[in-house]
Amino acid sequence: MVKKTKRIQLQPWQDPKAKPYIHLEGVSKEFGGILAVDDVTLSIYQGEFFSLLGPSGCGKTTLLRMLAGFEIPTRGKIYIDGIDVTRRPAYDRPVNMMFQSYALFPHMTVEQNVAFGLKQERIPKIEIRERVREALKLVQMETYGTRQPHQLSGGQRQRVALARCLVKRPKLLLLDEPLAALDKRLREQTQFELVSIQEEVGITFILVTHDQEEAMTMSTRLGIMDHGRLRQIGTPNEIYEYPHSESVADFIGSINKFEGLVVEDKADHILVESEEAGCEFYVSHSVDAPVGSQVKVAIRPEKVMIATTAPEQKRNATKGIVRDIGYLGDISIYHVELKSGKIVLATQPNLVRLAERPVTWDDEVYLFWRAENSIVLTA
Amino acid sequence: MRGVWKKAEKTLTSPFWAAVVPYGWLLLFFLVPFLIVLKISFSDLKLGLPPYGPLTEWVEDGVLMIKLNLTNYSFIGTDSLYLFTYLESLMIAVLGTAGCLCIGYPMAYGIAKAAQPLRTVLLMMVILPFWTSFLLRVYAWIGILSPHGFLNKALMKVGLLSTPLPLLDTTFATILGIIYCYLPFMILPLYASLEKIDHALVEAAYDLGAHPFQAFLRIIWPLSLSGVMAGSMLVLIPAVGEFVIPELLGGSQTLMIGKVIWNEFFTNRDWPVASALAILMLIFLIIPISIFQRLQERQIRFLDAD
Repeated sequence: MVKKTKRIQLQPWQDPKAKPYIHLEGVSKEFGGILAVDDVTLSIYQGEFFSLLGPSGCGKTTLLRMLAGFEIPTRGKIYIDGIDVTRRPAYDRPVNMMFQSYALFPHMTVEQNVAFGLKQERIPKIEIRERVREALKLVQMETYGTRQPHQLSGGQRQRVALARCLVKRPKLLLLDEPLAALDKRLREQTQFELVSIQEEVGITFILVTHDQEEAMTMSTRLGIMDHGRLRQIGTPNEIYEYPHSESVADFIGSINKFEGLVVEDKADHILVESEEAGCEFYVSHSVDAPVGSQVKVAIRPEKVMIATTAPEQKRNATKGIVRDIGYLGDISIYHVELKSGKIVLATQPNLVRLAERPVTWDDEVYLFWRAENSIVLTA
Repeated sequence: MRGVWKKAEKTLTSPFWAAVVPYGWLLLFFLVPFLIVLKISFSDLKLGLPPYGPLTEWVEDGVLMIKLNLTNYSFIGTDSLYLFTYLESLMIAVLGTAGCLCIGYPMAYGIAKAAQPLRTVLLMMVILPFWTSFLLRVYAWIGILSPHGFLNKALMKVGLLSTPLPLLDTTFATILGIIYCYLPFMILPLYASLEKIDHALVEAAYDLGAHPFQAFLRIIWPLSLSGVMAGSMLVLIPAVGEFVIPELLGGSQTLMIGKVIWNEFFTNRDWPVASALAILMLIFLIIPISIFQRLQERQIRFLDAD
């Protein structure tokens, strides 16, 4: 019971009575006639860790800069905690941004950098000192207060930049590719630290990234952007398992796609005939696709199972020849060529050592998958 | 043959030999003339050619006497005119530098902010006046400032003035001339330091609650300080010793040290006193230069450390 209430708290977007904390309404931004952000409507709730994910040039940074107040939307409105802030300048918003370059002031010490925002608020000196100390402690940089930014490593600068934002106690913290400048190991470690700091301070975070792994591990929900439009919003799990469109499916992870024709449309399942796959897809969840319509059926490589003998099921099964095997240590990627010439990717955990593997190059194998695992892409 | 060249290249680019060229230049064209002037400043005034006596003299066999005549310096100390001239030169130069800074800073900021094709054009326009002769440009101001010059005529035509303002032959005209002539020396280093400032820093300041003016005061201004210092020194130092501008625009009203030294050399033919004045001026200028260098070193330390 306790667990259940906690779950609901974590998913305010499923509660129809919940009031969004940040609300964007039909926000567009044009730069010299080119639409960088195109009619984005989005609600983000208090305490969320929301990621905007998309390829470079998709408009995610522009959207972030509009939230920060560095750009004014061409159309649309931005509300923070119910207040229209669309035209408010950056210095008058309860929002702070962590820059990709961290933008630490080079002529100030770490302490002075963190205190900068508080001094603008004319807070008493004693309180400033106390809050700066707290903020530096939160990011584990309390012993570096008197250093200059150039004496710090990349990871340390990132922490100082975070402390400089958090010390202001903003309603919303924006992070522009915060981990892009760090190496892989440090990035992974910092991802979890950022999440735990976010949980500790309870501030709503919006993160912009092009790194899907980063977005998936850190966020409560993510929004996929492409060509200025918000393509899909959902939890990492929803986006991965049920992408609505081809562009979202392509952007997150790798996926096998097959052309098909809907031959049966029932409430609990649909049936898609695919010549490309050489079989019928029985999809055990409802999809809004009438009989006779052309669709694409997609399936993730890790959901495709490989066997050397024919499976019992006739639907959701096909066969092909192993053309290539990519060995990644923990998993192997099999490239299987179907009769139609289509290459299907199937990943398998390496449960046995390489030499003992039953399937090898040029073997004929059967591929099959479970009915709930195929996705019908309608857009 | 190639080996010889390689060796020569290696030797010439080694730290020691690379330093020889600038130091050699300074030795030949700064230190040697300076020592000559220093020597003259300690010698006696003499009628003849050259118009000063030797410093050393053989008094008897094997005894060389060095005679330092300090009266040239003490004379400068007794006559308050020289001190007054020094102070006035400094005042004019400081006002000129301040004027250059006030006009040059917004200009440099504007250029640094401008988009690329325009930026090059604007920079070109700052440098362009150098393509005409310096003397010609100062003469042009006589035409503008004289009682029947362009400015007075225009002001009278509009009805702001009934009689022409005495603008020419004033200290004001000298300062104006200094500002005009030295402005590019202020703008260029300012532009160089302003252009280097990462715009994200200014945005970060806004983001942290700083109004545009506060962001300027606490971020842009301190980060452009090296440019302010460099520009100010480039204007102040030559302006203190300026001769042509006060001569042409300042009239008899303006006394500047450059003019006084010129008079001592050519009108009074008192080389020793003129040399002593020059030496004092140099000492006088070393103070601001060393302050500037200290400040700049501090700036460089944190700006270029990345």
